[in-house]
Amino acid sequence: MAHGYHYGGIYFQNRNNNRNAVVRQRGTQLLSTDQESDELIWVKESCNIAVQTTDTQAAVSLQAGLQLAIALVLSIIVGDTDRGQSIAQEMLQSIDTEQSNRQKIIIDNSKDVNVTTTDTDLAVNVQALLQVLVAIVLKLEVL
Amino acid sequence: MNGSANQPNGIPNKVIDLLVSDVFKKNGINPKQIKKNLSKEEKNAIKALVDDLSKQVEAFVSNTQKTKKPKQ
Repeated sequence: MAHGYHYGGIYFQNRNNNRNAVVRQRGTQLLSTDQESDELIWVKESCNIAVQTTDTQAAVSLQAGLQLAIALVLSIIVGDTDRGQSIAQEMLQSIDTEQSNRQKIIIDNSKDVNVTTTDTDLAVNVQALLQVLVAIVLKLEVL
Repeated sequence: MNGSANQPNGIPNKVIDLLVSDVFKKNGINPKQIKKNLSKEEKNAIKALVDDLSKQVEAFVSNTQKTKKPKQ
């Protein structure tokens, strides 16, 4: 999550590529999350630099968990796993999430720099999935 | 429990509600009927699952919002 401190001419690169499908059925690519995050942080001839970035991986697993939960709840509701998954696909294709984030940070010849990056898209995504899950469950008056 | 309602960037709850109702209707799912068919254990399991995920989302979102405002 936090990438600590970097001193001197240190080159630091973090690259994540995620292609994550919780429920992938034959012939469809629905209920899938496509996410790519590219991050390049370059610290050059500098000292006392603090860089903190968002944990993309955590969000991706959370997203997968939510998608799985939606499919699972629907599967319990209809009493049929395949049908449950197909309904989940139908529900989530409307908010199918695909995103690509790229950021480059170059710090050159600097001292005492504090950089914090954030990824608001991810937060919106997981919130939307939670909204769907809560809406389903509220309809059944389980909560 | 639904903290997402307060998020200005989120999808409005009414939209989500309509989406769920629409998909239920198209698939012949009657929530009232389902409600009767669910066992107590199933209801508890679903509740626990939603609570757990809500907490995780809340923690993630608050963490993101925190990092939005660096000290300097």
